[in-house]
Amino acid sequence: MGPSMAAKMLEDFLGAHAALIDWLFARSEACRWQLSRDQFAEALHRSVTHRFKDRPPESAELIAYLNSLQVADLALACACAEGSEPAWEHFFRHHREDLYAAARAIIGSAGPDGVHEARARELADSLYAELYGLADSAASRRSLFRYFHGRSKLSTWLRAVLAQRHVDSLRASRRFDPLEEESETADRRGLYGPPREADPDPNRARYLSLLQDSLLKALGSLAPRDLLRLSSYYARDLTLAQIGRILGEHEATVSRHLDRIRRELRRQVKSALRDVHWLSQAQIELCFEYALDDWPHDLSPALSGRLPERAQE
Amino acid sequence: MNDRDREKAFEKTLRHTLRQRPPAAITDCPEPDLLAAYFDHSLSAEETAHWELHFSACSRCQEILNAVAAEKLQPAEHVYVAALAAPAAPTPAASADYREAVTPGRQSIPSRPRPIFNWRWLAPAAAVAAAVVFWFALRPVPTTEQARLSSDQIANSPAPPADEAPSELKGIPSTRGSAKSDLAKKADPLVAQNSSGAALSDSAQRSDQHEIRGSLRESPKTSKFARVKPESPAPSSESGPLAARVSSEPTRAEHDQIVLGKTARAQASAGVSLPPGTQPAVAANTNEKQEAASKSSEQAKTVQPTPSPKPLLDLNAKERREKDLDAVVVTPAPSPGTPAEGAFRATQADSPHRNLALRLLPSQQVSAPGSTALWRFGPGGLIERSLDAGQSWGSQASPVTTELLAGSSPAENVCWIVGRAGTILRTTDGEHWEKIPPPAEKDWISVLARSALAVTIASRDSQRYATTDGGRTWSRQ
Repeated sequence: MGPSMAAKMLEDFLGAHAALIDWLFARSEACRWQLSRDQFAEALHRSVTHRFKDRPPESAELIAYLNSLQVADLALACACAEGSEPAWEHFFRHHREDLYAAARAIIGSAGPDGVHEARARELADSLYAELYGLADSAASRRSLFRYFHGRSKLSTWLRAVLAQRHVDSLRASRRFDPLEEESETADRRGLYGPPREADPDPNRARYLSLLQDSLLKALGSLAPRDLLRLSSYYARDLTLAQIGRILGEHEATVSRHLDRIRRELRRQVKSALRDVHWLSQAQIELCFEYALDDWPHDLSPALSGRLPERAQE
Repeated sequence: MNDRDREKAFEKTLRHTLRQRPPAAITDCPEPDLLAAYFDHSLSAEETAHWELHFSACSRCQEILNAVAAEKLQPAEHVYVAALAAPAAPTPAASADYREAVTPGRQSIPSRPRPIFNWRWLAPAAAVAAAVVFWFALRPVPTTEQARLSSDQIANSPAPPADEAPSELKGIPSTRGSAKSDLAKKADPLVAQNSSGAALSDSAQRSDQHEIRGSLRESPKTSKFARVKPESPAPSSESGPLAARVSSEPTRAEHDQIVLGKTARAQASAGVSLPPGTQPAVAANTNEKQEAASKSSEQAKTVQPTPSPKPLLDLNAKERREKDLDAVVVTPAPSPGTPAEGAFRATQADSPHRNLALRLLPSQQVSAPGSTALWRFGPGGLIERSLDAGQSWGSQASPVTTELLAGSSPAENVCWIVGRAGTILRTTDGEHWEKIPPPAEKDWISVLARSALAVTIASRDSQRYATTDGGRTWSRQ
């Protein structure tokens, strides 16, 4: 999209929603940060363009979106990006400690004077330079605040930025950690090592494969949130409390949902084994019995590409 | 193999299968803006589903989400203050919280946590609560006759002799003097008429009477007002199953106003109308009240919603009532047969007094969806309409004098109103009301209209009838 096209779209946006922009501008109290209406409108337009980059929104949809924005935080971020002193003062006064607290929690230390505390401070402080803006080739600052579009609270966005950086740095360091890699390989060898030669039942692998296949199909029918609950619990080993905090639920609710999902999956798996794979009740029992032991094979090659459609979206 | 083993086997399969799922591509991961929006629950349902599907297969995003969620464990101030106060000794609880947040280890079996509130009790508790609500909804409400009988107790309570009338009354001109004597005259026939001596059955009614009596004992000079019959029970004591009964349930703040309204109704039924200065909504300043009394006729023409109520048992009630008596206006005597309705009809004849009565009596309002036109209705068959969202009201000819209890307006000019003794009214032009033959002579307490022809009504004993032909035929539901 060329600059002239973008300018025209902005002009159209300003013309079509002038009254709503005025109202949002007043609601945001952007005047406190010496932010002009045009600057604020441009931030709104940037947010709209980012949200509806795939398709042009309908008028009602656009209005609902604009009304749902955290305009006060958007104005503050926009003013900070523009270098407004009052805005920065306000940001330091109200968000600095939040930022440090978020960094402490992310780093994972309750001790104030330990190494973790220093790392937390370092993580939080490293963000300030980017928030203020790094000079690019055109000698103009490009503040990180420009990537805040007002869809969440500013404090949540800051936490997300911090968390993302921290997780990325951790994952990058893990790649160069030989011990973990080795232990993982060892685990894999132990778990998915060569099949035992003395398997009493030659159909064991087949039963397990059928069981896993039925389970994958059943997983494909789950709602995305249920799938997230399951994978957080079983694949990522998060606690119920952690899952609850991510999903905004009480841990008892998460536990209840997990129970429900497991029951439903079991019912579907049994039904598939019986009706699709024509297994008898005794054979189904055998499937579960073999699953209780160590899995003899790494079935991932057989299962790759066989994920149900919904899970592959 | 028992069921527990089966469950363990299934969990093992689940874990194995989920861990073998191919991970989502990191390039598809959402930006922090979207992650934060997900966390603040401000994404659309479609976006939420899309990203949850991604999160379920993306370990990076789950780690980020977990890190963002970890912040919620410790408020900023708590950590900061703890850091300043005891730098070397973090609290064990905080450490435990942090460990829980950031340490991935956890129990292997999804053991149920022990919530503070055991949810298993929710179902029986909800059932008990529903039974209580059901009982409240269907409990017998005292009829007008019972309400009349209840006034006997007040009437039989010792009243000061007529000689002890307020000193202000003794010196006032003849109209006020006649007010004093009329009060005594009107009270006595009413007492004689209702002296059947039946016991009170409804505790709510009793408490209302108690409140009235208490307020009158506060001011013995006005105790003659206690010898009048209170109106039928306020609609606020009735709860209907349908939602059409708009704005009938009083909030706690409105309760005092309703009680005061009952007192005023009792006064109105005795043929005494108080000036607007005696209303709860007017300014507390008695000088203002007197000014309002002198301008009662002008003010009463425009009926405005009464804002905040004043409590009935005010410590200054005695003094205020003494001042208010200066502005007592006497209306014609009520008809002997039905004193309350007679009193209301008497006020209907006189527009300012009628408006005043409307301000004091509880009424309900309904409006059509998306329309500024309102109807309000209430005791005595009262129906009024406002075309400007309640700024001004115009009365409409009502074919009944029974109390109207609920209404429903599906369109701007269409409204259904139901009430006591089988009353069903309908207008299709917004002006003229017609009486619809009811399926039974019951007190209809709820109505839900879908059009000028289709309506569902409900009686106090939870019987529902519906019609789709404007009331020609009714079907029980």
